[in-house]
Amino acid sequence: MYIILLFLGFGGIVLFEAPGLIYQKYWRELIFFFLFLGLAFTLSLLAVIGIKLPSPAEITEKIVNFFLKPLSKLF
Amino acid sequence: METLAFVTTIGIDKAEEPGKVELTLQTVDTTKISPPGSGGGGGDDKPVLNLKKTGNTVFEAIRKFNYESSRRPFFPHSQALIYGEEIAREGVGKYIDFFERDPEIRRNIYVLVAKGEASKILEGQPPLEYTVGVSINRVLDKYSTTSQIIPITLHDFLGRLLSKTTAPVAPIVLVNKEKNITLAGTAVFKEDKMIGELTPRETRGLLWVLNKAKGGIITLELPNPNEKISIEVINSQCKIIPEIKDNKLKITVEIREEGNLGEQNTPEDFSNEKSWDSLNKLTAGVIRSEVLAAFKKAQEFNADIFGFGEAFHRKYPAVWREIEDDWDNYFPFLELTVKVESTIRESGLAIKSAMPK
Amino acid sequence: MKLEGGQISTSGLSFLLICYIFGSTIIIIPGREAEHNIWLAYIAGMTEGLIFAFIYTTLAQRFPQKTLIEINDLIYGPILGKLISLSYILYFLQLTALILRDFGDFFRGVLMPETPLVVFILFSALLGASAVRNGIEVIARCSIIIGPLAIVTSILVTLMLLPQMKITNILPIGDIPLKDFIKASHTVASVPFGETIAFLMVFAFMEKEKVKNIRKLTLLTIILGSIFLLINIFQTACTLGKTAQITLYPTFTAIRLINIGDVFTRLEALVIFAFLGLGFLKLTVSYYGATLGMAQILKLRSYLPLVLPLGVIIVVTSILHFENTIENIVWTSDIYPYYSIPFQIGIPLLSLLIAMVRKLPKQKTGSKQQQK
Repeated sequence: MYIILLFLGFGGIVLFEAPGLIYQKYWRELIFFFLFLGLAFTLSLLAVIGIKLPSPAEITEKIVNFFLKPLSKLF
Repeated sequence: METLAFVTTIGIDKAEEPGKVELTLQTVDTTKISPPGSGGGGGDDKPVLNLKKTGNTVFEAIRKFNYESSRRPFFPHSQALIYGEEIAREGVGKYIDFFERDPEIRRNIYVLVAKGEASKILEGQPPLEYTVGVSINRVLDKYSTTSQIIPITLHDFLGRLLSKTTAPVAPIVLVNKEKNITLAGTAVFKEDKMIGELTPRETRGLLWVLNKAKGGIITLELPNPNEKISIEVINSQCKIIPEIKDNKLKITVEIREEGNLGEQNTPEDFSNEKSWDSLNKLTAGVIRSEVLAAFKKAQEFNADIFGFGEAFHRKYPAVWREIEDDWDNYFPFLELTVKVESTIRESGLAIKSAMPK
Repeated sequence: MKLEGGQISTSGLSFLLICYIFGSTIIIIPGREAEHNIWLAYIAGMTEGLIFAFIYTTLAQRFPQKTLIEINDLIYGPILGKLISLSYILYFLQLTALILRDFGDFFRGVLMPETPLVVFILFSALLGASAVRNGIEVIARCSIIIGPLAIVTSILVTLMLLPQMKITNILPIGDIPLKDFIKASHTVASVPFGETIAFLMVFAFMEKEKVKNIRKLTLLTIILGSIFLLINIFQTACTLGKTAQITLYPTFTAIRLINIGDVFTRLEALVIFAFLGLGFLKLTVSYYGATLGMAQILKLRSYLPLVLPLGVIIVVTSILHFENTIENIVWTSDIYPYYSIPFQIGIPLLSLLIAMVRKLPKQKTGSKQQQK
């Protein structure tokens, strides 16, 4: 059900952007559009079918703690 | 609208089963509200319905209403949250979280303690109103006509509960002999447990200090016990001055009160400066005794209902860090000085009493 | 072909900045660990924020009509510059996701607890996307309407809360351990003020003759915005007292206490609209910065095709960020202030120093944009 909605949504985005880009012969833009859209689609598809993706918050938390731990020992 | 049951009053009691809570909700029964002009109404048939459920938590009990009620209890219009005395003495902390968390409840809702069971209060007769909640709400809104009841909203209550030193208080509601709902006195809490009561007189003593006594009647006793004078309070201002001297904690309370001469049942003529002044002194004396009475009770309970601890905190932030956790050992030995300055401004439409001498 | 044809006026920039500063701060009130000294923490945080803004605007004036991406290229060279720019774009994307999340959580929490979070986030993102597509000029014009409305609302709310306010709630002044105070005030600086780094993507489109005024204008606007914000902080702190510590959305809780003669009560619906407008603008600026930056790095002729794909990525990351609201609150106060240091102060300060030492930009006048 959600997957159908997802396909519809992305289909809509393609229909909305792509014809204009092709008409103007913006090939470079078209390539990057599909590149990012592909990335976006992969991410949302994974999220919709329930695969747990890593949280950016947790990643940044690890990075911050990596630097902060030695610092807090100093003070 | 048609899927909701408007809750006006929430009563919370201890359930018979140990560890459970019994919830009584007073809802407006829309099926009994007769359309205007149909000639209905009259009698005791008020359009209210009390529903009762028990649960392990407040929320669990609330959801159980949906077993029998086709309408979901709807809280944004609830006016009063009443804790039964027994549950109040055991501690309300466990049963207040839901009301702070749920977005439907407003922090403006009044918190009260019932004399006896809260559910009994909801069965009582609210004079001149349909629902207990509206009645209580209006009485508390107009508390300053007597200044002998203290209006405490959920917001006030939570603030006191969160303070390390200031003790929570709540007005006491009861059903009197005529089955009417009355408010009388104040419940005093230590942390989240009710530990005692203030009389209406002591309650006003508390209100003077909290800067909330903006009205009410002070009755002056004259040397002749049959003769009395009533002063109407118009305004009052209070200043709390904490002081630490030689390791002793002292509080000075300065109250400035304004009032009118409202009634005298003595033939004496007060229309001269000297006797007018004597009225000022008598009034000040009554206020002083009320404050001291409240303070004595508070020290007995060792519950800082006045927020004197916070006053020390504000003035002596550095010393306070040592006192704060040990406040229970300081408060009972706190010295209080009450200074009252009373000014009687008007005497109504009369100069002298018509009473024959 | 220029990527952005629009221009923003002085008033456009001012209101956009004010809205940006108000943005999510007004909802979550960061820096609450300072308890009743929160207003002191805000004054300190604002001062720190002014230093940030001084650095950003000095950069903007040194490199007129250049966005952050172009400035990075000029200072660090094409390769390192691109890497730094890319990290900024990721930061802006994350920032947008965080703002979306804050507002999504708020609206779901107070309006419709039963509706899935993604619905709110999706609709706000769609709204943001349409604004970004319309360009910076339209965004700035929106702020000219929303900004004054929000200011008037906050002043009215403050007036109506006067009866509930107790000055004793913010006393005594200054009894807070220095460490806690610094942490709280830095949180304040990093949440709205440091985030104005996104304006380095916007300053480039100031009207040409106004470029010299950017610094003065920005600093004055930030001071003005801070004063309004401070009024709100005072209001909330005086109204809520200790209970501000246990409530998720202090401003909202305070507004719900308004009751003037049973007539002016239950006003939160009105205020929610003002909040919505502020959130929308804040979101739009960082979204715009990310999209435009990406288009500049990739040397595209238009940033429009990137708006929706990036938008979807933002929505997904916004939901991925936290499993619940509490995680959001904790992360924002414990991790974000440190995590944002390189973006908000480290790199900009370094850029400015390098630019000053190397006397960049080399040819001061007549520097034509390369993309043209």
